[in-house]
Amino acid sequence: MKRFALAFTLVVIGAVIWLVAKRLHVSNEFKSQEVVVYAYSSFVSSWGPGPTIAKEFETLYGAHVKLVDAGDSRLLPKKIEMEGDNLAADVVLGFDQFSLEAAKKFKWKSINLNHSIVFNSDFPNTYKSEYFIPFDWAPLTFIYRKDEIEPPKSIEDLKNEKYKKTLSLIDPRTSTPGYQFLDWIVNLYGAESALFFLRAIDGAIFSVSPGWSAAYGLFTKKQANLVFSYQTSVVYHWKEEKDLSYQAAELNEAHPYQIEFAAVPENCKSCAAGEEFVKFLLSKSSQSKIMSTNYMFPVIENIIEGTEFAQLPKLKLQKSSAVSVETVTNTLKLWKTLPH
Amino acid sequence: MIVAFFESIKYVGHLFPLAFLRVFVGYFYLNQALLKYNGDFLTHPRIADLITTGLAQSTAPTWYSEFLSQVAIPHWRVFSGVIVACELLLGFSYLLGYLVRPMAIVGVLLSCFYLSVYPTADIFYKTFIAVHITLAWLAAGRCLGFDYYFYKRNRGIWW
Repeated sequence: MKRFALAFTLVVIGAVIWLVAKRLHVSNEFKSQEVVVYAYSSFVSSWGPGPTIAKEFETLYGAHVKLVDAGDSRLLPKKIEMEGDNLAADVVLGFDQFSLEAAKKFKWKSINLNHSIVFNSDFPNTYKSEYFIPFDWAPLTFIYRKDEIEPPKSIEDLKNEKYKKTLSLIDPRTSTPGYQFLDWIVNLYGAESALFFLRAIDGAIFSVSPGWSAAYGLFTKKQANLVFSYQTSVVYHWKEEKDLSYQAAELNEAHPYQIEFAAVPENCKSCAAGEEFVKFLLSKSSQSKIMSTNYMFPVIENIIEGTEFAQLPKLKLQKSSAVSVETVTNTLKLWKTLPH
Repeated sequence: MIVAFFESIKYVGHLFPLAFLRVFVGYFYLNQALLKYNGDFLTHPRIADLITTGLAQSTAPTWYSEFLSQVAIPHWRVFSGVIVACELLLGFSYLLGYLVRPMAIVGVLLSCFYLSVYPTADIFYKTFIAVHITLAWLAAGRCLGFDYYFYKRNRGIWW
């Protein structure tokens, strides 16, 4: 009986180890594969989240990650179109709501997200897709320094004389946050009235810069008192500069927001590893890195708790839906009619 | 062996509440193990994620944090496998009341690991450590369990 008990114990332990080892074997398949990731500049830069996420992915999966700077997210569809069948990417990362429709012209792999991923209840997950996986988001608003200027409570306040030459804007033709502003105004007022509104606030505009960095630079150098940027931008000043005077305006109107997406092209080479990389972007560790280096909200739950991001007020958000390529073109035509 | 199992009801009936606790904890571990086994715990680095985020808030000693980040994370497959295997064995052991004392040691170690990577749920895992120690101390496998059979024949600290 003693021998039976010993044999029984060994059989149970052996069976458990065999079952677990069998399942573990399935996951060991990316060794020495290369995953080519196309991403926007700030993601792949040394101060961005890309290099640390790539390094962690390499440690965990044994695959090599090659990060490629693909420029601004609005240019991603054009880059993919130019490369055509020679597209070298296994992952394309950085689409937003406005480049999403253009990206849908190309073929993408369906990504089966794991059931254990729980999106944050604050995240407006309005673009559910099996091909494009959201990995960060942030509302946009006016950023100001509280000792310098009284924040606008409504977009209409910008017509007021006290906001003359205070606002640093970004060109919507070359930058995503710039387009967000224009699209927001068109959504609020309609195409025709938007034009009148933009002319009415012309006096409030200090400058229109080609990119976010230049526009935000004018604001941080105190040449402009207001900048249209991500609500989460203020966390950078709170955290890195210990300057709590930077605040995000809470407007009566619903705020626009930007969601960033990642996808795996149909003609990928390391497809399974690419798919895994996209899922890896939704891991707690990656989400935490994206939040703290990209200064954007994570999309999954239980990441912002206990951080400066949790102190940001919850802004009223626009009801957004997919934006067609025609809408984007027409909205940009509107901008061209303005004197800027 | 089966006779001894039923005899255990007669002789150690006063340990029924303890047997209930043991079966409940056994069910908990078996359920956790099956959820992990059928989910993506073994195929995706969930454990690495857990360790990375947990250690950021943990007050664990430096040598232990370094061990987890430098050994456990790169070898997450092995660690995931060990955790699932331990939970499966703990589940079977506690449900059957077989080898409860040795498995309680495994339970304490497992709870210590979770305590270090889930610092926000410290009360839960500290309670679990106390439960494992209690089950081992009172030899919970002797009531409604197969440990009674071995206890009758080979008295010692393991049954």
